[in-house]
This record gives sequence, structure tokens and C-alpha cells, in this order.
Amino acid sequence: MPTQKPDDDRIALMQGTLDLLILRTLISGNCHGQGIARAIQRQSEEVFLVDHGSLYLALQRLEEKGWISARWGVSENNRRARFYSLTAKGRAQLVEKTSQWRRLARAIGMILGPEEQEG
Amino acid sequence: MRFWKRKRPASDFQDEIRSHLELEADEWKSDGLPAGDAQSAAHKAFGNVTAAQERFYERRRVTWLDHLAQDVRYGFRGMRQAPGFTLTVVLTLALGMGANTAIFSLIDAVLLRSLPVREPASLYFLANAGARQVGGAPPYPCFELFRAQAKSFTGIAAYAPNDFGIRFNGVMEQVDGAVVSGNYYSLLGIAPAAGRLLVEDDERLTPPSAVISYGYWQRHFGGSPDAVGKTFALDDKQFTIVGVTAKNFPGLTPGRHDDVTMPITLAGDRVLRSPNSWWFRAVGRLAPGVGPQQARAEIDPIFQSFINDHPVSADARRDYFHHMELTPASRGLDDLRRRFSRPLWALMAVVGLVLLIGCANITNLLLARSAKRAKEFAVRVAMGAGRSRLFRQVLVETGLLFAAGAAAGLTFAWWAARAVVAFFAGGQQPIRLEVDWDWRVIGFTAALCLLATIVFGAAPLLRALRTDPHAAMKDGGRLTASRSRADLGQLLVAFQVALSTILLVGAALFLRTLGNLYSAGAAFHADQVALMLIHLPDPTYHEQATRIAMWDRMLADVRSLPGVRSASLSRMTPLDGSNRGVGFAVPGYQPHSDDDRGIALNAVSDGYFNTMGSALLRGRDLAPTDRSGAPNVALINQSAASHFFAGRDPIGTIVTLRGDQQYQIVGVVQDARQADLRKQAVPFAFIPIRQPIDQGAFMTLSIRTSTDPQQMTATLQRRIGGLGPDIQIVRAGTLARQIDESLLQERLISTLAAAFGVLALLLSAVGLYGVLSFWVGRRTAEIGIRITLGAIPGQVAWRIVRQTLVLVAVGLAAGISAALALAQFAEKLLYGVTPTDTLSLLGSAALLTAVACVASFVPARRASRIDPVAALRSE
Repeated sequence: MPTQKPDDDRIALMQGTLDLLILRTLISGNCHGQGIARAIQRQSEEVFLVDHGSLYLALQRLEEKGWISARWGVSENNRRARFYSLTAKGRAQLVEKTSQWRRLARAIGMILGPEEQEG
Repeated sequence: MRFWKRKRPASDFQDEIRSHLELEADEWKSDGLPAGDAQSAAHKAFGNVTAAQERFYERRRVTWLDHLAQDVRYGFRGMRQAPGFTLTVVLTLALGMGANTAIFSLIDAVLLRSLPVREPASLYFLANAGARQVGGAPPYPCFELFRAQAKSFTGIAAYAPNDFGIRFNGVMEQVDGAVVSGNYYSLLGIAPAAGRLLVEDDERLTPPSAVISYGYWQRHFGGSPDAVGKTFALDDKQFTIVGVTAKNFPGLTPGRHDDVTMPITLAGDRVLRSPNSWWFRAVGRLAPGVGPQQARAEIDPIFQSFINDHPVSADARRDYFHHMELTPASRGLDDLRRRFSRPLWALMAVVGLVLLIGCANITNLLLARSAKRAKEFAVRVAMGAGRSRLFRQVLVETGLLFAAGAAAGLTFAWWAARAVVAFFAGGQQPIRLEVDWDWRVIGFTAALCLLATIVFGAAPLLRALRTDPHAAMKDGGRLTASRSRADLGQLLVAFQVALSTILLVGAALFLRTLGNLYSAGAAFHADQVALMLIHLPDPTYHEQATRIAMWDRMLADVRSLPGVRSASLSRMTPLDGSNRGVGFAVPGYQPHSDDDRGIALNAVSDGYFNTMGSALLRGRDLAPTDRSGAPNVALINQSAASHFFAGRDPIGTIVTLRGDQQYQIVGVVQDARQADLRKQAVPFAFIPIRQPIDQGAFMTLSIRTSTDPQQMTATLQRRIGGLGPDIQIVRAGTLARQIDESLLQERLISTLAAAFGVLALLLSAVGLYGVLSFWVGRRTAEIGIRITLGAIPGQVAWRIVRQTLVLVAVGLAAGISAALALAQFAEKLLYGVTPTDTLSLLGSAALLTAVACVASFVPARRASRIDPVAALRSE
């Protein structure tokens, strides 16, 4: 269940988007779940709220699809953690999803028109 | 999802979340938070851990399967908790579905199933046809022309079923068999179970070869491979068994097993060369891409020119030999289908109605049960159970009940189908059916089960959906909640009464038909006559004189036995299924059609009419002295006398039989039905067995006894067997049994229709009783108040009886109109009654009303005896 409060102005992620962001994060190397969550939050300049419960379900889903693989390892600070890495299939999906997303964003951008300057 | 991959265990997921929380807390700590705060911050950021684990679990397991398993467990528990209810439902369904499956498996075996041959759809019978019937194949020379000239077929084979007396080591045995052309097996695509099958070369009969059926192989040789190579004698030929046919192929005639098959050339050159012998069937396989119309167009001109070269009478040409037709051969010869298709579909309708009546009871039971469980459902809805979940649960429960019923039904059907197959195979001329349960039968039962669940489980399902927790939790909810339920229950009872009416009227009509047919056959001394078909085989009895001497000895010997009142020999006996016509000419009579030029013929000894029970009306009976050398004499029956002599006295007239044989008529006998009890007697002539044209090797000995003829059969058989060498008793029975066998369809349909009619009546009575009891139970308080307010118990009871009578009246009205409409489809099955037969209609109505009154008696009495104080206290 998402846990954002009503006054939270961060954006809850849509399902497909989270998958895409996970794949994008993993392109720079293996990472465990907590690291992925942090990375997404950090890279989006704290705009996205990553619901951790949903994140693990997404990871599970991607793993079942065979886009990512996982194995247990040891983190930088010597904790046992489950590390995820991108598979070849996942890499191909990332390319495809990225271009899909770009097309979508451009189309929505065109409909919404040029960004209005505030103030 | 890949199913072959091992699923990730939930504990691994837990570990990962724990590791996440630790890593997150580490980060908070490195940001400077104290250990405790860091941990709670990590938890807070994660959100609901349990929910995440649950979602993981639900994703991992297929949830609906889980729920289904749970529902199934609930369902079984429910069934165990209400054993009476479960038993009633399962038994009702077992009877209903079992009967349906059994009849359907018969329909499948008799009407639907294709022969186990290669590409059955491209097989066609080549039949000559005319206004009166589609017959067999044209004479053999014409068949050979087809084979030589027709390009539409990849092959055409000849087939003629026949009975043979064959000898293994001198011992004679009568077998069902066939003669076939050499290409028969290769054309059909039959594989041998042992040895080889017949081929073209075998037609030369040097040496004579034969093939036996799988069943005969098992019965006669115990399936031993030594059977191939064994020899048997047929007349003067010694045949060698060269192989065994495939297990599932009994022959081209459904209901008959061709146990011994021999080359067609056995028929002899005279028959094969004859341009006017119509004696076999031809089956052809269409060449690829050729349609039956095209093939017919090719063979018809060949047939027409053949017929022009060998002309027949104009009547025969029009009625029988008008043109060629191709009829599908995928299911073999259609005699059995023609005979049983109507009765079987009628029975299918009957058992369908029985199932409907049974299911109506089940709906009532389910409704009563769901009314009882309304509170349980209300509690569950109140506690947050989704209605869809409840719906699913009731669906699963109902489905389980019906599935259990169907499973029990299959067991019952298996037994019932065996019983019916035994019924068919029981006679002296058995009909052998292979009831195999293929996918069609199982699919039929499954579909029936599903349909019944949906149709008859729907009302209780909807009730479960409508559960209103507020109303149901209140005890007083009963009075209001029962209203619609009672209406539906009553509707179902009226429906049951209507269906039962149809069944009872049908059963009454069929029983009256059977009764009428039996009384049509009552002209015979059926109960007292033993019958034995006797064969005096070649070569011992090759000479006519030897045979006649043996027949004389046999009659004298049997007549001298104590307990024998009279005895006679004849070619045919009543209802033995045979029929024979010959040319007939009466001086001074002007024939108008072929029918006027022919007469049915039987050859009989003296004493035949006395033995069978037909009265001699004029003149004298045949005498032992009417033999070769003495003047030819004949008797005719009443029909012949009135048809050919129209008021003149036939006695003394010399008539011509078979074109050139002169016979003097010496007597007239009473009419008797010969071939079919449904058909009026036809003109008949009777000639002595000892005079020229009828001195066959097969005769039926009829013996009228003073006690039960069956008790004498063994003695008679021993006695006759001892009269001389090589006397073969082909079969022994009684005239009563023979009449029974000729009425096989009628007995089958009337017995089953009556049994199902009674079952329907019982089911309806149970249904009515259940609905009324439920009604009384629900209104105990109301009735208590009424009685307190001064209602007389008689009035209370009358109210219930009146309600019953209204239901019955509605059901009867609907049922009788439906029965009248439906009976028209069954009219061809009836004899001597019309579908509007008043006795059947009134009788059924009276019986139903009486049974309904009995069924309502107990609840009505219970209602009238309600103690108002106790009734009100229980509220």
C-alpha cells in the first residue's frame, strides 16, 4: 500500500515507470534493492517517492520476466544483500521502453504546449 | 511466469526485506541519526512490511486456485455435514444423469458412431432405388460393369451377410458370417489381429480360405495363435482359417458380428452370372476429389443400360429398380438405425425430462438449504466477505454436488448400459451392440453436468448474492424472506407436474401400443408352442427323398411323446422375421399391379394350423399323403380368398405358383400376421412341404405342448438328435419368445417409459412434499396465530390441499397440451392408439392428482395439528 501523505507533493510512480527506472539504474552496475531505491530518489532530485514495498514487488516481477537476475552478496559496509543485475533481455527492454517513453513524453509535451513561465 | 523454474521461497523475500531495512538504517545512521531513530526511520520509509510480504505471497501463489481449494474443502465439509441432503441430491442426479448417459451411449453406439475403418466418410453404398425403397446392389454382372468402368471410385467391394452351418472336426455349428469380394478388407482398410485377411486371389477358392472375427477367435480358440491354419468344412469344401480381423471391426452390419467371412465366389457361378439375382451390397470408396453426385452420375447410365438389357416389370422398375443411389456407408448398413432411431430419440427425450424433474427437486432442496444458511451468509457479509467470494463458494458447492451426482451417474449408467445391451443380445437372433464410452459419451455427461449446475444452481446462487445482512439477522426476517422462495418452489412443482404428465401420458400410450400388439398376436397359441429350427445338412441329406423320410419320422416320433398335443413342420413360423413372395395367378382374375401377381408363400406340414392356433374356415387341412406323385394342393388364407376370388368359392380352383406350378386349392384358413404384428395380414398361400417346389433342408418344428414348452425343450432336443445321424438343431425357443423378440423396440420403449414415468411421479411427489413441508414449517407461527384466532384445523389443512390442487391443475394443463404436441412426433411408434387417447390422458391426470393428494396429506395434517402455544413460544 502506498504510504504517501496527502500533503506530500512528491509523485507516486506509475507501475511501468518504476520498471523503467529500475532498469535504468542497473545499467551503471549491480545494485541491491535499497541502493536502487536511493538512486532513483536521488537522481530524480527527490521528486519521486519510491514506495519500498512496491519496489520489491517490481524487482520480483522483473526477475520473473528474466529482465534482471539476482544473487546474494555482500554490500560495501559488509551486510548481506541481494544484488540485482541487468540481463541481455533486460538491456533490450530498456532500449525499447526508453524510446517508447520518450515518444510518449514528447507527444504529451506537444499537447500540453510550451511550458508556462511562472511568476 | 516460468513454471519450471523453482519458485523463490517467501523466507528469501523476508531476508531481503530485513537486509533492506538494515541498509536503510545504516544510511540514516551515517546521516547522524541515533541507532533507534535510524531503525524506525527505515521502517517508516518502507511502509507496511507485512502488506508487502502478503502481496509477494499472493503474487507468488495463484490466488484463485487457493480460494478454489478452500471452497472445495468447504464444499466437502458442507456435504459431510448434511448427509441426508447430499445423499438425496447425489442419488437423484445419479439416476437422472445415469439414465441420460446410458441412453446417450446407446444412441452413440447405434446411431452416431462411425465404423472403425480408414476414412469412413469417403465410403458409399451403391444401391438401386425406386419409389418404394432403397435396396441393395444390382446383380453381380452389373456390379462387375461398375468395377470395370467407373472412374469415380478407387475401389468397389461386395458384401453379403449370411448364416452358415460349418463343421469343425465333423461337429456342425451355425455361425453368423458373410461372403465378400477379395478387395473388401483392403478397401475398408482393416488390419488383421492375426494372420492375414482375404485378398483378390482368394476368390479363386484354390484353396478355400476364410477369416474369423476377433470375438469368434476369443470364444472359439481362446485367442490362440494356433487358430490360423485350422480348417472347417462348409458343404463339400474344406476352408482354412488364414487370419483374424481387427478387434474393433465386427462387420458392415451394425448389431451383427460377421464371425466367419469367406470369398464371395462361394455363392457359385450360377448366382454370380445371374442377371436377375439381387442378393448383396456394394460398397465403394470415392476417389479423392470426387463427390457422391458425380459418382452417381457416372454409374447410373451403366445401371440403366444393364436394366434395359435385362428388363423387369414396369411396377418393379418404378418401385425398386428405378435408378442408382449412393448412400453414406460410414456407419455401415442402416437397418438397425432405421429400426431404433425413433425409439432411441424418444427415450432420450424421456430421460431428459426425468433429469429435469429431478433437477427441479434439487433446486428446491438447494433453495431450502440456502434459506437455512441465510444467517451464515449474512454474518459473513457483515464481516466483510465479498459477495463475489460468496457467489464463488456457492457455485463451487453446487458444482461439487452435481459433479458427485454425475460421477455416481456414470457408475449407474455403466451398469444400465450393460443391462440394455444384454436386453438387445438376449434373443435367439441377438443384436450385438458395442457400447464403448468414447469422448462423445464422457463429453455429453460433462456438458450435462455443467449445464445442470448453471441452470438449476442459479436460483440458490442468486439468493446468496442477494443476502441482506440486516434482514437476515433479524429472526422475524423469515416471514418476509420466504415469500419469493415459496413462489419459485411452487412454480417448480407445477413444472414437475407438467413434465410428469408428459411422461405418464407417453408411458400410457406406449404400454397400450404394446398391449394392442400382443392382442394382435393373440391369435396364436403363443404360450404353448416350442419352436426348433432344424437343419438336415448335406451330404447326409442330399437326396430329397432322404430328407422327406426324416421329416416324416420326426413328426411321427414327436407326436407320440407324452405332453405333445400337436406338432408340425414349416419353412416359416409367425414373427420369425422371414418373408417370402412368389408369382401367383388365378384363372379369371385380372391383376392390376405386381402386388396382384404375387402372394406370400409358406410351406407347411399337416397340423400346422392346429399347432399355431389358426382355424380352418373351409375345405380340408393338408395331409401326410400330399406328397410327390399326388396332385399338388394348397391352402390360402382369408385375405387371399377375398382379394383374388371376391365372393367366389376358391375351393377346387387350380392356381399357378411361381409361373409354372399348378396347385389346386383345397381349403381356406383364418388370417394370421406373419412378418410384423403392426401390419394387417397379407394374402398367403400354404403348400405341403412334401411337394415339388418346397423341400428345403431347413424346417422349423413347432410343438404345441400341454405344459410349459420350455420344460420339454431339453427332452425334445435329445429325442430329435437321436433320430438319425447329423441332425442339426440350429436354435430352440418358444413362439412366445419369438413374438417378444419381434416386439423388441416396443418392449424396450414401453418398459423404460413406464419405469421412468413412475420415477417421475415419485420425484414430483417428493418435490411437492418438500415444498409444502417447507411452507408449513415457515408459517408455523402464522398458522398458530390463525388457529388462536379461531381458524378450524380443517380449514388450515384445506388451504394446503387447495394450494396443491391449484399447482396440479396448472401443471396438468401445461403437461397435457405439451403431451399432445409432442405425441405427434411419437405417432409412428404407436399402434392402435392415437396421441389424443382419452383413456391415457385421463388415467395419467387421475394418477397424478391422486399421488399429489397423498404427498400433500402429511404436511396438511401437520399444519392442522399445530399447537398455537408451542408455535408462538418457538418464535
